[in-house]
Amino acid sequence: MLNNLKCTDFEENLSDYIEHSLAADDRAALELHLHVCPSCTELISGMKQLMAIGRNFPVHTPPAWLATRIVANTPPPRLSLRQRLAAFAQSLAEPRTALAIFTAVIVMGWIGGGSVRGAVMDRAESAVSCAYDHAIRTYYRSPVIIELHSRFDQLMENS
Amino acid sequence: MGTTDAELLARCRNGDHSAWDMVVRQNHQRIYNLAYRYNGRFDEAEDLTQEIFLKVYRTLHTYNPELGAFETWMMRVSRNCIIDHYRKLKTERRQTDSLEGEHEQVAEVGKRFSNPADVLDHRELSERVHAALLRLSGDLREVLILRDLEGFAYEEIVEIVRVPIGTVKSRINRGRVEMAKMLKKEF
Repeated sequence: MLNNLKCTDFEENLSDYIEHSLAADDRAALELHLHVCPSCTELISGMKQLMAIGRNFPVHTPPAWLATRIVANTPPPRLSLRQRLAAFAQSLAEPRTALAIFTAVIVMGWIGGGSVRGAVMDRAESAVSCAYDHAIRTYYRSPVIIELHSRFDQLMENS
Repeated sequence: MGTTDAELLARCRNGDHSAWDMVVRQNHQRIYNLAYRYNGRFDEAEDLTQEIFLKVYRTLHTYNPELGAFETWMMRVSRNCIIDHYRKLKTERRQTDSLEGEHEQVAEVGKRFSNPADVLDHRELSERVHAALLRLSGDLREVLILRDLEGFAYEEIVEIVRVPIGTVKSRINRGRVEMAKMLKKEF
């Protein structure tokens, strides 16, 4: 019970009084004070006016570009591993990705074919070289050639 | 918060940009006005609104619908963002200038309507109230904005500001009394 109210006590309970959240006897004590205190009567009137202004406070319209700017400046979301895998699978199914893969396969095939051709040429070259060596060795080891060479050397010595 | 909004937030969490666009367009006016009411400057309110939405987007995964309405959660994020912005601004001002600049700026708003012969329409009256509001301390100002301008219930303000209900009520009452006394001197 708020007996013998001072102005400071009144002020402490002012919002509760205006919002009707005081007990009946406290409310009665405040009203009793109001009858004898013009200063508090003026204060309560000012506060009521203030609250009324607050309820109808002007609402400002933000600039039309603000929402667009906010959305544009929002960074792309961080995706989980599963979401990233799903996004990757989805991107594979896109026509442009499929076209890129197709082109890459053709190019790789062409490059791969070239290397096979090169390997065959290398083998052929090596086989020819081996055959040439073998022919040379056979020629110099044949008895006719050896005899001819020895006769030729003797002639050179006698002359 | 309706099911549609819950679905919209779920889509935002999954990276749906069009859903995020809708969330921004549905709420940006309210956040913009909240920011303006806190600082009284339109340019700062624009930047703050963007900052708030980016923070909301980054922390969207922490919102739990079972713990409260999205609106209340977003207001808490906004309030924290605004307070952080003010702390940063105060530190910068201390380094470069004194706080007198802020008081001068607020007094300037009041001076524009100081002629008693003026017939005050509602808008002018609101501007006076806003100028007086900006003169209150941050603690009193924020609860007063949330209660009397934004129309939140005490319980919601407790959720947003994270202080006991007794403190919220006492701050609101003190703020109203100070405002009423300030305006009484002016009229």
